[in-house]
Amino acid sequence: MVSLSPIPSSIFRPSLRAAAGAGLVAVLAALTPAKAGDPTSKTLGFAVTTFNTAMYESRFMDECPQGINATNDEFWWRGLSKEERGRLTNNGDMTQIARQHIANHRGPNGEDICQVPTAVKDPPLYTVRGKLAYGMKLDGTDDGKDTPKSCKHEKFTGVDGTPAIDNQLYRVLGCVYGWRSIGHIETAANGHRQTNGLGMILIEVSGVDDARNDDDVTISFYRSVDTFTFGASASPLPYSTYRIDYDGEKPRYGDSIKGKIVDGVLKTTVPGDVKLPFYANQSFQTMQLMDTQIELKINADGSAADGVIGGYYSTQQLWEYIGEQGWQPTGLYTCPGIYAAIQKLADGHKDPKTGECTSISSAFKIKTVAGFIKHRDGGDKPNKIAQAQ
Amino acid sequence: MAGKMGHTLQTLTAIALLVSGAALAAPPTPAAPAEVKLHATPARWILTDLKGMTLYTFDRDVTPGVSSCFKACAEKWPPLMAPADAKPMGEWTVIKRADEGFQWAYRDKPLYRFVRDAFAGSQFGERPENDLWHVAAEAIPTPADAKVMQTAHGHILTDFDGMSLYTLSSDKVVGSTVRVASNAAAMPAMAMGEIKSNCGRECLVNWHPLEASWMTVSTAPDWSIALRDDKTRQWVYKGKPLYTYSGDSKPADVEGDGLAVARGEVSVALLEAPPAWPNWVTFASTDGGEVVADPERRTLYQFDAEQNVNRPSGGASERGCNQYCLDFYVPVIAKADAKPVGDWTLITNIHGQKQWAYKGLPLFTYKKDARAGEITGTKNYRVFFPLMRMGGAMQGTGGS
Repeated sequence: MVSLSPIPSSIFRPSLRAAAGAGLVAVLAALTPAKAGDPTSKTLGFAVTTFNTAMYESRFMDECPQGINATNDEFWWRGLSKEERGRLTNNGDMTQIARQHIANHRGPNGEDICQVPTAVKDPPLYTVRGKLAYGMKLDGTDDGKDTPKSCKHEKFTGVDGTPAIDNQLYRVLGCVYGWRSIGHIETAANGHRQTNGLGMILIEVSGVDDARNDDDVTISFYRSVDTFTFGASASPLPYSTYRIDYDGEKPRYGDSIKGKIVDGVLKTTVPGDVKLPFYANQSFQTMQLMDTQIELKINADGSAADGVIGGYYSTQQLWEYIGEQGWQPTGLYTCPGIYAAIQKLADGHKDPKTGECTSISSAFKIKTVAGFIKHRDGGDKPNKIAQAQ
Repeated sequence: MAGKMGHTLQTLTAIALLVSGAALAAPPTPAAPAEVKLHATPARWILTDLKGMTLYTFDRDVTPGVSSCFKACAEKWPPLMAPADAKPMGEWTVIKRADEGFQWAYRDKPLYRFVRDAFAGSQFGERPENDLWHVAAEAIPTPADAKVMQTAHGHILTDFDGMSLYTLSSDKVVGSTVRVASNAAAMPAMAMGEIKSNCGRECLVNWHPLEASWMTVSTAPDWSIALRDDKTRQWVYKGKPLYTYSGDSKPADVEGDGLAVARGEVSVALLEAPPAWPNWVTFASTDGGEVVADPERRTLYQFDAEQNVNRPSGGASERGCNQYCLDFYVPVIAKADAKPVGDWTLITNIHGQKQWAYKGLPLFTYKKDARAGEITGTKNYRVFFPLMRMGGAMQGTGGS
């Protein structure tokens, strides 16, 4: 049951009240009582409006000195004689998307190389060579050395100067057209999520005594069954109510990690494994993000929070999504090339038997708006606090 | 939850039997040509040919009285041909096809059969991945405040917004109710019944009478209006006042069904029970809605090979799920003594196995769906698409 009663204003510092002015009213509205046993602690709610693979793109694309990667279609085209090109493309009249279907079946026995990416061997993917990236330090090392849990890899420096950042997903996808800001994959995915309401992530911060500084809060992730309310500029408005998705009496999502708020920035204190709803370009996924960390800067007026969520993403799940996109109009990349790069650059969750890593460090930039998160009447069972192994 | 749903379904079935009993007449059906049969149910009437095979309309027939289905389309969807001397009657017209012959049309929509309908009454042509074709049917007449909705729980009455309607067993309507003819020249004085209900002030917080505005008159058979104690007017269907329930949060929810209220029991206004499922079928909640699942609650996917014709090889081929496809998808194999149930039939697949099919399309699970409620096998512009409990296409999978 959502509770819309106002919180005691004492949890805000006077300086904030003075600074935020009318905006404070909005913050109060987005705070809801949390712990049944602790009537003084409150809850912050946010709905994720955009969820993008965190890409650092320099002005002159210095991070990709080899350029942008070629596509399935181009590799297929390169392998054909002029006569074959004419025969297979209706003398060049075939549409790009229709041709893509044929290009994807360029395995030696007609295999779909996005379903069976090892059927052919494309030239190695052009990966990121730059030094800067968004993300978090996930493996606990300063140099990305080989450990019992992680595989040797090259570290980045954070865009804000933070050392020892792990983001091998960016290294894989940073020079692939579709994932860069000029591409369509992330733009289309965010657009679809906003319009059809699928894969909407809710972030609930509970146990909040002070909305700007609190050393012990719980961060929970849910799926919303309600869509955004849009303003005149077609942007999601803050302070809508979002109902949690339930399967019977249990939330279908709801993993939690521990965190703190420092000067209005929400940070993880104990990373943990969380499941996130994911919908993009006609694909659904229960995204398993392991050793998850989050850093969200909450606006002074509390109406929004933007930042980065990072963790280890299962390579199998990552490939499941990317392989499927090979069919889509957005699938302008080389499936075998990306698949091989993922296997090569995976750096987390080392399989003790094979010595190969089964997950890849990743980071996603998220934007949110504040909202009321509605639990079912009578409440739901407490979620376990996820903790990294 | 499962217990409640089991109870709900039992209740629904029982109500359906009651509602469809002799006292509750089937909806009136219009006259039809000799080549057509009208199959009436408590919720609607359906057009079939003389053999009982379902007739369909086609969304791409946009010009009234003109068919746009020829050649390959007409082979798959044979037109309902009319004799050369057939004469139009009422809302039935005879259209001249551009290829040859004459075709029956109802309300200007040409009528077709579907070649893959396996038996009389089957409706395999109405499928989620190809929503251009619709069973030629019409729901019973309802007032503007209500409608008939096809849901996972069967055909039910809902309000204008699709919220389920309920009846309370303890409600009674006393006095005479007068139904006004639809062609009444002016609104006549109405002798309305009075509702005797145990649903008082507290009960009405959650159970909202389906109100009829002061100037509304009932023109639909079996529908009337009765007065409550507070002199508001409430819609009554077949002698039972109708309510919506505050616990329903979205259209077609039936959370109120089976609840004990006002010294009686609540029943959803079910007109027609849902089609039968095989007894091994389960359901699973997913990010895309409730899907049909196997006994381990793994999502079932329908495979439509015909949608695959532009994909020459690899993966699933136009012939069926070949070896590459079987790397990912697992046929739902039937037991040796399995028998078809309603829309669920048994086919022999390209590997010679006896496999379950729904509406003629073979069913699979997906190997990478690791747990109940996963739908990662939704692939390739819905060549494989999850079987939804509610029917229709899963939102966001690229179709309707």
